[in-house]
Formats: sequence, structure tokens, C-alpha cells
Amino acid sequence: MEHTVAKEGPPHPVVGDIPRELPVLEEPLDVDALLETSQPRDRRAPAGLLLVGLAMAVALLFRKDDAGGLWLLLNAALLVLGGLIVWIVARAARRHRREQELLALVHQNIQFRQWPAAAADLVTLLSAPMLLPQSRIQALIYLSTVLARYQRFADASKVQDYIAEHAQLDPASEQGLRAARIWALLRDDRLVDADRAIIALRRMCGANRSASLAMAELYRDIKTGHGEEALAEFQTDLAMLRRQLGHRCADAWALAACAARAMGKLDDARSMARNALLLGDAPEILSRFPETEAALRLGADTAPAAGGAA
Amino acid sequence: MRADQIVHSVDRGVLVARICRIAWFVLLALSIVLGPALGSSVAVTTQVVLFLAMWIGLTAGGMRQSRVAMQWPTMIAQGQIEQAEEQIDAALRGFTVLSSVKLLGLHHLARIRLGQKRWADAATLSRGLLRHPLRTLPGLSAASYQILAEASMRLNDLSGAFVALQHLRRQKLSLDQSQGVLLLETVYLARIGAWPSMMDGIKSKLRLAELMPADGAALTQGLLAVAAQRRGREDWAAYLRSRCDLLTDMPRLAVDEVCLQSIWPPAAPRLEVAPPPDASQEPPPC
Repeated sequence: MEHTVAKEGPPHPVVGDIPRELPVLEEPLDVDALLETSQPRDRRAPAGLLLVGLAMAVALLFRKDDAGGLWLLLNAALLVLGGLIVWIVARAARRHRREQELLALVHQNIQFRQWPAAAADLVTLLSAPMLLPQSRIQALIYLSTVLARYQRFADASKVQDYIAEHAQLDPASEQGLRAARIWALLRDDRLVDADRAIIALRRMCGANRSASLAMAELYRDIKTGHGEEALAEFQTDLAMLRRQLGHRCADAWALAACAARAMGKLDDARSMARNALLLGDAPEILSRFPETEAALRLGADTAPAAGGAA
Repeated sequence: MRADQIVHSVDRGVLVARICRIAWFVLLALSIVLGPALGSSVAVTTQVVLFLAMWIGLTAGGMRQSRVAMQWPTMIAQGQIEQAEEQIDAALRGFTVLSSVKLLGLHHLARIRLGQKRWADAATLSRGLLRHPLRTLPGLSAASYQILAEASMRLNDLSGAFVALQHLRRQKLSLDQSQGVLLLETVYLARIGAWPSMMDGIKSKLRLAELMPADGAALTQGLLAVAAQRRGREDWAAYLRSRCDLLTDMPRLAVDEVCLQSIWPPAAPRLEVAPPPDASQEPPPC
């Protein structure tokens, strides 16, 4: 077999050609409408049908032998009802499978940063009543991610608040959601609210400091100009960040580079920025943390592009 | 109980459940078709209602067990292995008309054995599970083939791993499963020394590897770095080496994965520059 082994070399860290435009959002993400339309529908109808069926079966059981016409009618009605229930259950199963497939597709699109496709699938999912409340909450978590990616931070915070108010999440998911909310608040420059949310998250984590808390604090320190604290925290948390974030540790390296640059430690900033660009994709890091652009350029091979930060 | 005994007991349980289901349908059909000719209509209707009630009762029991089975993945992830094992053991021993509970139990037990590094048991349990049709349990077949491939590789049964990987290639995989398969395939190709195949489509492999947790991403890219080095692609090798060093402690991974030791000798400082391989000689497998 002919092996077409990579003739080109590995990717080089480049920051010069960051797209200044966000990807076009073809689907209107009307948060209030989607929250309303996605509410699971009251499912008492099939239960009612079952009750009617049971009543008919009891009637059949105690029928008199001379009730010929009525007996036939009841039998026929029972058959129709049975068929109806089977049809409803089969339809619900088909819808459930479709819902789960779409949810998996949204997850996949978010992972591969196919934002317009993720947004379109989310609109399809949330525009009709969803079958399971847990699936709806998962879809709303994805919606908040997509909204934040399109820099609609107020809408993202609204969805996150809704989830926090209406859903009982497991501790890991709740930490992730709170961290996402803090990030949205920081991007929206609501520093006081973000600080309060960080304190709440720290209380929730207790002794088990998580990568989401560490990232939130790191970003807060960058936003408030506390570079020295940011660098100290980064050094302390690095092993944990590496373990928990994998390639997303690129964000932490970029923030650390930003802090080092602000402190005038240009050599450190350069090597940290190189690490960030080795692990992550410059446009993605910059879409999350635009403050890191100048630092990332230190680690890139190309000259800064005209036009400044996004 | 030994793994093969567990497999036999599950086979028996699944067979009994199937016989019960068939017997129930046959008896119900006989009552409806032949009943009116043999007895009074009230007796027939009572019989049918009793059959239905019996089935609803048995199914409800099975559903209760299914709900318990849904907790097993969480328990295993949270490290409550003993508790999960106890529940699985009870489910495997008890009677149920829903075979899915027993099959799920077998799968999760194989996962536990894999975590406990009891590779032979994990392989036996997965093979036992894969003998059953798993159409009603989507995703279970792929997950079991993954366990079988990993356990086979750990047991140095490369042909067994190859067969499992071939089955996985034919399945529709979720994103998480695709990541798992990429890792297994990379380890397998490194074991057999298929360096050119490892370098095929390296960019898309990296894209998928970047989504993995730190150790998985590092292991995949570390093995790709070995492949690049063996193919004389020092540019790729250096790039992947630097990434791996940022992701995790590679000498720790090299303890278990011998192939990595050509770049990261365990518990020793790694080689900065590897000598370019002799292009005229095909490098040996790990």
C-alpha cells in the first residue's frame, strides 16, 4: 500500500493571520424563545390512554354473556387503543434516539469548533419541546458555550443562570458551569460579579482545587492587572492544570505569558507563549482570551498583523 | 467466581430469559386462540389478564434492575469498585426477563477487570459478551471491542487485538469512542512496527488526539513521535516530543509503553536529539 505520509512539516505557531470576523451565525439564537419552546411537554396523555385501556379491560372481564354488540365494540376499541399506545411509544423512542444523536452531533461540532453547525443543530433541538429534562439541560449548557463563542456574554450568563436555577447538576458539571459563567462575566467586564462568583466557586471546591477554579482566578488576575499573583498561581497550579486540561492547558500558558509580559519578563513570556502555541490553536485561544494577543505574538514566528487586537 | 464461570452463568441466564419470553408469548397466544373453544369466556379473559399482569410484574422487576445498572458507570468512575462489583454480582446471579441487565453487568465487570489490570479476565468477559447479539444496546458492542482490543494488546495477543480493531473500524463510533480507537490503533501499529501507517493522515490524528485527556493525548502523540523518528522525519518528531513534554511526565508513561523508551527512557533524562535512522534499514518493531 502506498503511504502518503505527511510531506509537509508540522504546523508552525502563527498569530499574524487571526480572522478578525466571527463566523457567520446563520441561525438566530433567540435565548428567551429557545428556553420557552424547549420545555418538555406534559406527558399525561399516554398515561390517560393506559387508564382508559385498563378500564375497558375490566369492563370486558365483567361483561355479561348476552352483551354481544357492546363486547365487539369494546374489543375493537381496545385493539385500536393498544395500537395507538404502541404507535405513541415507538414515535417517542424514535424522537428520543434522534434527540440523542443531535445532542452528540452538537457536542462533536463544539469539540471541533464548527460553531455555525453547532448553533444550527441547537436551534433544531431547542425549537421543539425536548423529551428529557436532562437532555435539555445538556443542550442548554452547549447553547451557553456557543453564545459565549459568538461573544454574546450577557445571553450566555442568562442561560447559565437559568440552568443553575432549574437543574440539579453533579458537582463536576456544576463546577464547569460556574467556571463558564465566571469567564462570561469577566469577558463582559463585570469584575465585581465575577469576583463574587469566584469566591462561591472556591467555597464549593473546598480543599480540592480544580482546574476551572485555577483558570478563573488566573484570568481575573490578568483582567485586574495582578500579573505577579497570576504568575505565582500558575506556577503552583501547573501540574494540576496539565493533568486536568490536557491541550486546553494552552489557555493557561497564554494567560501566564500575558502576565509575564506585563511584568516585563519578556524571555519567560516568549517561552510561555511558544508553549501555548504548541498546545493550542492561536485563533481559538484569542477568541477566549483576546488580552493575550500581544504576548502570543512574542512566541510566534510571524510579525504582528496590522489592525491590532480583535 | 472465575471469569469463564461468570460468562457461562450469564449465557445460562440469557437463555432462560429467552425461553421464558417465548413460553409466555406461546401460552398467551394459545389462551387467546384456543381458550374460547375450551373454556368459558370469563376464564379466558381472566387468564389473559393474569398473563399480562405477570408480564408487567416481571418487566417492572427488570426495569428496576436496569435503573440500578445505570448507576454502575458512575460508581466505577467514582472509584466505588467494591460496591459496584457487589451489585453486578447480584444482578448476574439473580433472575430477570430482561437479558440486557446481565449483558450490561458483564460489560461493566470487564471494565472493572481492565482497571484492575486483570487483562485475561477482561478479555474473557468481553469475548463472552460479544457472543451475544447486542442490537438493543447501542454502543455496547464498540465499548466491549475496545476493552477486548486493549486487554489483548496487554496480553501480547496482537492477532486478537487486530480482530477487535477490525470490528471497531466497521462500527459507527461516537467521538469519545473514536478517540479510544485512535489510541488503541496507534499502540497496536507501534507494537507491530507499522511506522509508515502511523504517519498516514497524521494531521487528522492529531486533531482527534488533542481532544483526549492529558495522558491519552500524550501517549498517542508520543508514539507518533517515535514513528516520525523511525521514518527520519525529525521535524515532526521534535514537534510531537515538545508537545508531549508539555502534556505529561513522559518517562512515567514509558514504563508501561516500551516503544516510548527510544525517546523517553524511564526515570532518566530524555534524549534531546535522536540520531537519524538509517533509511536503508527497516526499523524493527518495539
